Amino acid sequence: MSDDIKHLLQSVDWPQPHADLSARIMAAIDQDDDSSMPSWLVANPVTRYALAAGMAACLIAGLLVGPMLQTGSGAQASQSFQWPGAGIALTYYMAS
Amino acid sequence: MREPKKHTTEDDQMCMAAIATGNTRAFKAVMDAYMNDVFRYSYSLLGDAARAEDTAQETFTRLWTHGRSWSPKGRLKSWLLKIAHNLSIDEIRRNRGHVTIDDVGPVLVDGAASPRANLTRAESAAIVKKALFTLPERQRAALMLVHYNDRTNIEAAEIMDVSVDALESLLARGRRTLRGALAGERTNLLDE
Repeated sequence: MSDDIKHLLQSVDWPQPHADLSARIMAAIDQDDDSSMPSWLVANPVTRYALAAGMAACLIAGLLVGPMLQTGSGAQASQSFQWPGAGIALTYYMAS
Repeated sequence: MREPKKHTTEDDQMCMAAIATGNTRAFKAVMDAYMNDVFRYSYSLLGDAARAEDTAQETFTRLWTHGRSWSPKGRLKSWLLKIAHNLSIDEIRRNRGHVTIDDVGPVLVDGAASPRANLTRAESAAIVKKALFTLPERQRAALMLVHYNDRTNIEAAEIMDVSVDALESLLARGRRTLRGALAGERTNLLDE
């Protein structure tokens, strides 16, 4: 019985997709890639984690080196600005 | 369009590993291998070539963006058919009441057979197609997955997100309904 049904379904004149459908899809994925990071960067776990580690290192370096470069009244103003900023960030982190 | 070369499981695994690194040639190879299957399955649910093309495009775009979530344990064709199935069902729900079958008229088939035989074959194909589209979409999906795309009952149940028992029930009802619809059109079709 299943052979009958298979034969019937295969006898149907199924339509074909347009010949340019594959080309349209290729163009669509190329466009997506152009508008963001290269796919090899996002798709490859090694490069993805390396990118995340690099960003984290830059952030930590900025936090450590930034205050050392500041002197005088500018440093005080900067520190008085940093503490509330850190508080807001910590609150946001705890809440999320 | 010529039928593409069949991909083996090893071909699929190699291509998917390459796609994960952004290899567009591997992506094109997978698309060439499975485009017809994905398109025809979507068409069999939607009954509209333009919407089936949109579904196929979205299916392969998801393969490109989410290909890393494919498990090498499963068959790639089943994974693609599952995406196409879900997209087609969503499309049907959005356009409930607008399912039509386009291009069901008889089409002459090239070949060595006589014009009379060709006409009969084309007429028969059109009758089968029309009868198929009288089935509820779940029965149609079950028949297409198992009898046209050669999925096992377990794979088809997984694609449709139903139990194997439910799939077997859909298959039995689908076969019965299709035979009933064809019996009303032409009694000798099933005996050809």
